[in-house]
Amino acid sequence: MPKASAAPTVLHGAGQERGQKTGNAEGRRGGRHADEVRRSTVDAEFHQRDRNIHPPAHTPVYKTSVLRSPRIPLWSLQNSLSEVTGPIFSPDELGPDDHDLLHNYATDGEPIGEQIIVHGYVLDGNGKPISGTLVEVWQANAGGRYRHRNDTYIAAIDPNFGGCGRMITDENGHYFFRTIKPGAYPFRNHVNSWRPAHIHFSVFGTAFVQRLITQMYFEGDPLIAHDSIIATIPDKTAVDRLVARLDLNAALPLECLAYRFDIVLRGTRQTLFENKLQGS
Amino acid sequence: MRSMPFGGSYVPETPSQTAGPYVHIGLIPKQAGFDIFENNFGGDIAGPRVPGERITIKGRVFDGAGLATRDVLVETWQANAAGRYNHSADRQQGALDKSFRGWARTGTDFATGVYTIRTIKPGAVIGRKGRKRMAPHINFWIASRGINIGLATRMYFADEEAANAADPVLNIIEQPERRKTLIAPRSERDGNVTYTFDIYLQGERETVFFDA
Ligand SMILES: [Fe+2]
Repeated sequence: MPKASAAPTVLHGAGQERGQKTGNAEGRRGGRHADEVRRSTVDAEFHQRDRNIHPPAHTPVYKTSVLRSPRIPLWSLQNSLSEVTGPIFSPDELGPDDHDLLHNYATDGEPIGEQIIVHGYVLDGNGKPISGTLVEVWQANAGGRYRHRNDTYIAAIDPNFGGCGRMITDENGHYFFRTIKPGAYPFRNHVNSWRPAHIHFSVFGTAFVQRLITQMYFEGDPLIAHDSIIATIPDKTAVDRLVARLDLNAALPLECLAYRFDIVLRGTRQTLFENKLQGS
Repeated sequence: MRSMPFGGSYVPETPSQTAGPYVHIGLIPKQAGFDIFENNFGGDIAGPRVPGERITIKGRVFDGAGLATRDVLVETWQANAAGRYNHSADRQQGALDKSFRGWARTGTDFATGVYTIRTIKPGAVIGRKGRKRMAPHINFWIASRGINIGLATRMYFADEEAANAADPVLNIIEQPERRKTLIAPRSERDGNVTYTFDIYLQGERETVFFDA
């Protein structure tokens, strides 16, 4: 079971409390105010997001970002309950084949292309595995074509390949899925812009501020160096963390290769905060 | 619960990348006319037994040229009518309703650019200092082609004037004009309540986005 959905310390009170009851008793300690402080205390505030490792909003190298980027700086917001909570999903919400892209859409055979395993861990910034979190993936088929009404690339649709899947990390934060290696495809950034082979990932963590959508690339792909979307990331070591490594140990001999892609979401300052509370 | 001491080694976050033009097939396949999963996450999230006032939220997401986008993923996260989040970190006293997760997902429509969410109006949640409640609000997160990293904002309710005026988050926004970008007007027709929340990615009416 996901840690985040473990039974909370539920304080059932009669009816709904009103914040106003404590009036402006700023600094007053004990009694009702202390009670409310405890209940609203965010015991795990998140570290500020390191914006240097992410692409900024406005990146002319990727043209579509120009008109879709806020120009006023983001307002910094300290964590309240609205930020440190987030949706939790349960394995029984997913179908048994949802994580198997080789079979979750196939009707009369397996999809065309190189079959692979993709796996890895979802961790937080403290290195702790995030169990029970939803991981969703989508991708083009072996020819580089998406099963999407707006994709008009000449590569053929594969009748046996849908191109999306989803899974929930196990108790160790591990996820895996089987799929086919997606093909490269052109996109209208420059006349001759090509996307390297990639798989889109969407991850939740346990708090809405950990929400992340990203893309995974494949080790050794020569198009990585030419991609305008990868180029939006200023930090090249950060780019490297989006490149899945060939993982021979996870390959199935005589059957298929495997790639390893770990995902790190924001971590909390929990330990520091606990110390501070205990020390005061 | 003690883990790594402060000052230990932090692992840097995985960088964000745009959700791209085909985000629908992964996250809202039905909208792409793609029937693959039996159970689909969606934008109609309050079952018949969930307490609270039924509301519809409608809006568009405009780009810097004033065009309503038609490919943006919209997700929302909210407390229930008692102001409580369905999450273990929320230890407030308000009643928890396990049947209401509080999370919705939809997209701006391919034809009209309008997104629609059907839910209940959330109650007020205690603010981070525990002294006063935040005005009722819904947390938004949007992602799409051209958005390099998901954008977070909040929708407040125009009919909560007094609560909005005292809200600690609205009040940190220096320019009162800009606070208005987060306040959704309410309209009623045939007993149906609709809040309109348009998001402006850029331009004179640029929405306030948060770095939380
Ligand atoms: Fe893609």
